[in-house]
Amino acid sequence: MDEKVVNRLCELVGPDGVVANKNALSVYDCDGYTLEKSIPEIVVLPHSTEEVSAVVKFLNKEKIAFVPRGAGTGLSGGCLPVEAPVMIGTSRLNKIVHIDVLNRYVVAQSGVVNLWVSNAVKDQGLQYAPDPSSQQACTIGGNVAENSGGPHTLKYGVTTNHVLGLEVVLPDGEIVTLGGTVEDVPGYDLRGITIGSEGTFGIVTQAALRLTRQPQAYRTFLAVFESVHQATQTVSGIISSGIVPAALEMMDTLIIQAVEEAFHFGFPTDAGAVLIIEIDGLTASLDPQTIKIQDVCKQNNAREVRIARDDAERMALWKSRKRAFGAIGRLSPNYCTQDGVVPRTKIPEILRRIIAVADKYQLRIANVFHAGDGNIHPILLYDERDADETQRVVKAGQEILEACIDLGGSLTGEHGIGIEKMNLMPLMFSPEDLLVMTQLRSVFNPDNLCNPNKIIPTPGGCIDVKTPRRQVPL
Amino acid sequence: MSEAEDRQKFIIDGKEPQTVAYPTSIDEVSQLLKEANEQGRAVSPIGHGTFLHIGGVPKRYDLALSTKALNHIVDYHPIDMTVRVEAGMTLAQLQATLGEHAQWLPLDPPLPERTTIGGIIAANLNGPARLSQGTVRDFLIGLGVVRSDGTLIKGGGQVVKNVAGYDLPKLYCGSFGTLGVIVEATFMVRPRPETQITLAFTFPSAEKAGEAALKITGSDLQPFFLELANFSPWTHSPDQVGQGEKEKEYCLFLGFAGIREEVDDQRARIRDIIGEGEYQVEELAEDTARTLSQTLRDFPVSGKAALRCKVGLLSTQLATFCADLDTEAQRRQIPGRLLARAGNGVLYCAFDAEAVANDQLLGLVDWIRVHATRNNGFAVVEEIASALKGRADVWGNVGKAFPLMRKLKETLDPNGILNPGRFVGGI
Repeated sequence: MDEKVVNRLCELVGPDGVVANKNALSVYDCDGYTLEKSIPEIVVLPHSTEEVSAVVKFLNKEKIAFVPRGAGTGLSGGCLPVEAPVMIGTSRLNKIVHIDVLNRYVVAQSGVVNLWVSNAVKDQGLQYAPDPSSQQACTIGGNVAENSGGPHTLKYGVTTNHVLGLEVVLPDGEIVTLGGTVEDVPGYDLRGITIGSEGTFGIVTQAALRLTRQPQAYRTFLAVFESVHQATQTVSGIISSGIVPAALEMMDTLIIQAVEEAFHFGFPTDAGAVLIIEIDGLTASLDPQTIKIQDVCKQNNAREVRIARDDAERMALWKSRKRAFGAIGRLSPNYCTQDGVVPRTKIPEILRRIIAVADKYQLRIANVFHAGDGNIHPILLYDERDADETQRVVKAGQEILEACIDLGGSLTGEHGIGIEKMNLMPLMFSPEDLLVMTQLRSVFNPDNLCNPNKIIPTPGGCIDVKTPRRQVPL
Repeated sequence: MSEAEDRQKFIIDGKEPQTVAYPTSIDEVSQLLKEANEQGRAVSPIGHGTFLHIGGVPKRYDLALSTKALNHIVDYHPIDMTVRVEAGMTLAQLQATLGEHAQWLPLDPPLPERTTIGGIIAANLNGPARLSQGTVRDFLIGLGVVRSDGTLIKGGGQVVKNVAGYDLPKLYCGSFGTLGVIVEATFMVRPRPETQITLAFTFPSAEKAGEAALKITGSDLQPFFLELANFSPWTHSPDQVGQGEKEKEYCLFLGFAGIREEVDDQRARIRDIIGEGEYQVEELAEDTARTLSQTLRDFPVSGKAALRCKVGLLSTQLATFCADLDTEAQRRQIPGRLLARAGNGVLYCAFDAEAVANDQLLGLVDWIRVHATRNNGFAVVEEIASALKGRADVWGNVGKAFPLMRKLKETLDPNGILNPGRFVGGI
């Protein structure tokens, strides 16, 4: 990197805000999507919105591309620098600026960790609802960029449903406020289109987040079935009984076995499938819903329905679920997690197709997913030392996503497109749809200096996928 | 109906369109827009024309494009809890179908018999239930839009969770027909609450009512809706507001909904949560409650008004704002009816003043805007005489994001044919 550029960046954020040392830079070579790596030439860590703005203004003037980064827990390579020499990290924008209990919102800088927000308002009986599994590490800025979800999105919605306003440094360095702290701010909902834009519209420096009342009580069930079919029928049965569970998660035999071996929760390792069902709300509402849920489980021949006795047991159950991916390491040297969505009623069909794909490519595929949302996470097991098997995993993953689209679903429910699924976008969107996305990006990011080479495939520039996708938990 | 009558029906700010079209397919919408775009004819996308009073005076207005003949359900999967519907269907029609499966689209905007799906999205319409349910952006998961050049584009998808590509549907919520003609929408829907009750409280002042509202939203109760009003539909008609001895009285209307047990639980605890004080409370009989909920729902368009404003504030600022506004309106002898979505900080106000000078009315607009923006809020003038719209600056200043908005508009509608002049900053 040009020394003049380095010097100028040092002037703008102070020498302690610049990482230029080769060894130190290697930490920034990928996010949670570890299969493709690329080291930025320099990392800048501004202390304030004004510093972000000054850095971006300078880079814009010099026409140097840059990529924003939060905690690097993303799963689709969203903050991988691709022809972008400068990385702008938000780790020092880590303050909760304002808490308003009565109006139920907080203003937090973008480098604030997701869980810090809920912790800061816990004693007031409030919470920040979106709870991605990486919430102990992932940042608000990253959540906004990816429109992150979590196991409880079925009832509470995803990030975009909880963001009132954003402060954004645009790719030309201008600081703008999109939305606000009040509702229904007039004008186009630029906040809404910026959320989920995967860092291609600018750098979010601050967000006003809506807070939600903590539920008065929870009830968490573990329902055990002989077959995946019975479990999916139960999911449909619960939904059609008029209950909106807080979470509705499914694990199949392979996952159950791995999780049990890792955590010893007491899962029956011979079961075909288990459901984790959680309801929450007013204490008075839980008993009648419990009866309904037990009835539906019984009608679908559940072998057993357990209710978590206390908070400790509930937490243990969730720990098993949230760390299910880690447990997979016991089954296979490598694995690749897919993220796709189908309409909830198509879950049995997509599972049939996944089994067919596994047969066709002679692979083992385990399934753990957000059944209530139809958000599947098939996990393809392989050994990277076997080049042929590795290639079959790539093809199988793509075929599963094609099946999702075929059943009326989506390429990604919560992990994003990033660089990972860019080449699959035409499966879901017409050239006209993609053109409009490109035009929208140009409104915010006319020179494509901010996080280039993401989301929208450039004609003729598709990445040839040779390696399987990620190995890390959702 | 004759063509002349049709044109009359869709007059906007005194301007009559040259043509009215009722396309019956998306292809026809595309064709109409393509031609209009080539000829530079200005198009206003319309449903039944229920909210045409909102927005600036159109700079040009040639074609009224009503989507009301696009009124079919494309796909409805009750167990997936998703519905795909054409934009011209009225909300009431849609709710009737969803109701057969004990589901609903949890939005309660004014006049559901006339309000279309496209209108709900374009004008971001909602009602009292927004407190517990959210607004249209929370339910809209997929969208079909015809661009100004006639190209059909789709955003989002058919599934409840989806982060593939930019979130196009959000952009069209509240875009007032300036970025394209919405032709189709996919929503996630919800189970209809099993039972519902309404409590009506009367307080001696706005402040007292406001304090109670904050106690409710700060408690573990889950109100279905919570409305603060300076009128009571029973003690006096809205027209006489501010003239009787009860002029300082404020009402709170509180709804609970859900399964019987949770409604009963909340009913039993409400008095403890609000505490002792100078107020009266009664639980409304079912038919009274139904009438009231229509009154609250339709308030933003009901009755006669020389001026209607929508104000956005923090919830904690509402009561003081209302009390001050009452005083100010009284001083100007412009009696006003105020109704606030108390948990959302959204206030609707309507003023009737036949014999009041324009300057007085505009002075009131000024007062409202200055006091709203002082605390990072906003005020939109939703209805006023067309001749006063320019001076009233109906949308107000949208701040530093405006250049982006203008660029967006120029990108998606380069010839400026869609609702020119009617949105923020003259877009």
